[in-house]
Amino acid sequence: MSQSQPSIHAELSRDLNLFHVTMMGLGMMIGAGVFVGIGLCMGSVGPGGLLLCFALNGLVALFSAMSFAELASAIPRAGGAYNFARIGFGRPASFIAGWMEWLAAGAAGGFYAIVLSQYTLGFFDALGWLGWLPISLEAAERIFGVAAAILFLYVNYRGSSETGKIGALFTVGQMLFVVGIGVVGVVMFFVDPVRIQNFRPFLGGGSWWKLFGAMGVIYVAFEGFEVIAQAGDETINPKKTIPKAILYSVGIVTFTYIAVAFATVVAMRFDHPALENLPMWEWIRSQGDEGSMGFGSAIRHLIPGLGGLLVTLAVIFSATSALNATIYSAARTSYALGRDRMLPAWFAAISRRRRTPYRALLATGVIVLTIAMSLDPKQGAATASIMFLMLFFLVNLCVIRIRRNMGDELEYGYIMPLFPLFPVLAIVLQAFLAGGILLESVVAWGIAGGWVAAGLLVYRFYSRKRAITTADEIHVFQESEHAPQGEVPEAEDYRIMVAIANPDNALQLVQNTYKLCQAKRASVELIHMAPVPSQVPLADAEQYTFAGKEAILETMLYLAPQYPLRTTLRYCRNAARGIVSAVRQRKANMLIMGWHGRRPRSGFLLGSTVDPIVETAPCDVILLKDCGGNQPFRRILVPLAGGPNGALALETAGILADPDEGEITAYTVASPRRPFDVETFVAQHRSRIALPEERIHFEVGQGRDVVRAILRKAEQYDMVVLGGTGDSALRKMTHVPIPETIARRCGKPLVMCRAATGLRSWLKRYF
Amino acid sequence: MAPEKSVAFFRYNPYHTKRNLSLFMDTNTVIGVLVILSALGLLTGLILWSRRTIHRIDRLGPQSARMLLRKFSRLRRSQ
Repeated sequence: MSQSQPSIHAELSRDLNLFHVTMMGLGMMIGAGVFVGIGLCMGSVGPGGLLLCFALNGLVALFSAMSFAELASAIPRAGGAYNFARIGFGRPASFIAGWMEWLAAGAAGGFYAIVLSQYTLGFFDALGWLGWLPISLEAAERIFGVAAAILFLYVNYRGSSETGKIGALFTVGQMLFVVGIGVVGVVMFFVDPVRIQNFRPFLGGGSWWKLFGAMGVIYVAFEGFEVIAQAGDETINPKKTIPKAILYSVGIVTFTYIAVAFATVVAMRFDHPALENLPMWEWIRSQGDEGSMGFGSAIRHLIPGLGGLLVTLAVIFSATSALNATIYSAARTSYALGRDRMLPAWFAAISRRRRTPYRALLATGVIVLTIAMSLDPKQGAATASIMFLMLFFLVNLCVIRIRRNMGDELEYGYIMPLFPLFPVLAIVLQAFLAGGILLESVVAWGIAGGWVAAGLLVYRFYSRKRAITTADEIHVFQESEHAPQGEVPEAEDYRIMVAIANPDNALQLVQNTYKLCQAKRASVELIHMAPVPSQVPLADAEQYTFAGKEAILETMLYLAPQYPLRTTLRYCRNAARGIVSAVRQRKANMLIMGWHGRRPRSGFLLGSTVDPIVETAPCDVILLKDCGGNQPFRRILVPLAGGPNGALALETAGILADPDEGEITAYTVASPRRPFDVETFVAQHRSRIALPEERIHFEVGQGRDVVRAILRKAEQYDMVVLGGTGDSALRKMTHVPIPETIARRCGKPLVMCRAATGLRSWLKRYF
Repeated sequence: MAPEKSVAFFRYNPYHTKRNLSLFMDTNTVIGVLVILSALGLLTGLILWSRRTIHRIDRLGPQSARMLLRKFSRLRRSQ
């Protein structure tokens, strides 16, 4: 075993797989864009034109997606248009990319706020609940939209924006609803084929030329896959996963949109009273502003009774998640511009309390609120679409230039076929779409043109001289995981991971970790998770790692001279998720953590970080409370009630007990409802206890209140070691289990053990 | 389309049965359906082709991507 001084190895917590990142993209794409876009588009180019728009937009989006996929596979660390532009064309292009991305995401946020308010208040209005309003419905919608935007700006300021795993669950819900509507529509068509005549006339009142305008307006429904490129830092095997997720998300979303559009067209029969004087497409156009509410109205007829409520819920659900995500994305972009001094450093200020870029959020808020207050849905969608089209235009240029200039240096995980056919096609088609938007919304072009012109002026007179070289420019190509040479312990069968939160917590863990490592003959890894708010790119996470580095150094001072260890410092979005992911990746057998012992927030048993780890970690978990210093544990109390956690508690107590004088007392409180023979239990697990027979005692206590009896008994001991609860999650929601209650109230040093056993732990370990 | 025309269109409604569905196919519809099917076919094909490339590079390592690129470059130069 090596005695050399280990160094602190910093790496990123990669815990998102193909499913998570695909869902991340789908969550951004299936926002309000499709719900509003269906009505707008059908009103403009008819029912057949609607399907054409989605199919052709899907293809155009795929061409750009292939460019994103290729670049993200080669440069997974620094994904995103902002960095691709910097590598491809240098700083001016990267500034313009960031500048456009900022407005694109901000405008999309404003658009989602408008849609959210329209659908929510429209639903209440249909129920007759808004008769008391002293202002018009339109004014109320503006106010509600602005309020929703402010709420989500605050949510982002609080730093509770959630992407990745939890976001994936929300997206699955959205997808189920949207796919469900598509399936109902297709079934309805087969049951009643005459509904297909709603497709007459195929292009409604529009023409083939008008198709480009309609496609341009609803292109916003296809933006979102680019966020996948930004998740390279957090994704497992990003070279393979990111390009696949980008391409899959575009494919899934295109087929889903077409199914939903088809369902909207066949939602009503031609002989429905509402269609007495109008064909379907004109009726759709008459719903809301130029058809913005057409989708909801049609689905109310497709699924009578529940349709209205379901649509409203789906729109609220998807618009809120998209609003949240776009605000987060816009703030992140403006923060990056400030960080690189392309905008004033004012934008890069981080809140001391919340650790989020609050000024970037404030500036983003101005954009979102201006769009929400001043534009109608069609103009909002068109503005966001133009900006995204320009952005994708730039990325398609980048992919050509980067492949030609640096193709040999980069390690691609994906290479698009027939290069450069598809980027060129994407550029040409996107130019058509952007031109087509001019037919639909001159205002949107005015805003976009003004914004780009302003950006060029800002760069010319401010950013050009002030921009600084950043870490992204230096470490842009590759982030390879590596272990410190010669410092990794020789391969052992048993691996212990120690999660360190801060220097105080680190010292508390040292002595006991050492004993456990010795007893288990294990290799040990110290790990510190530095949670970085989701608005801050992980490339900037350095500033969040000071406490972690200090904690690891403190621990190494004591452990390194005696025991070989490996240290890892990881950036993550959520400490609990990061730790569980690290345990899974390293295939650790035991996780040791400190616990502050303070009363947790309501709804948690031990704490918001500890609870999910104890619940989901696929290994044994040991929690230590107040076990620091060199105190010898001569007398250890082990309250028992059976189960694998109790057995692990016995084993741990045997290891932590003073080797010369230590003794343990296996203790149980007699209960007529649940008889338990403590002596038999200890005999069954005798081989796991590293103490001679005479130093193991048994005692059965009396008392109706088990917690009080154990706490009273604990007063006579140096330490309490107990197993965690085996209660179901449902039961834990309704009451605090006995072991956790003891852990909260006990004033003595305490160790809580949770054993990994059975199929569930095995599954958690590998999946 | 003017509303009067729409009303007239829907009063004259010969498409009540599947048998008459063929009458529904005008030039715009035929072209539109063909374009939609082609777009979806191309989209699916490109995704599957790309998936194959990703798996191939993952299996054979990044060198295979580099070799692929060099091959393309040689082709370009020879042209």
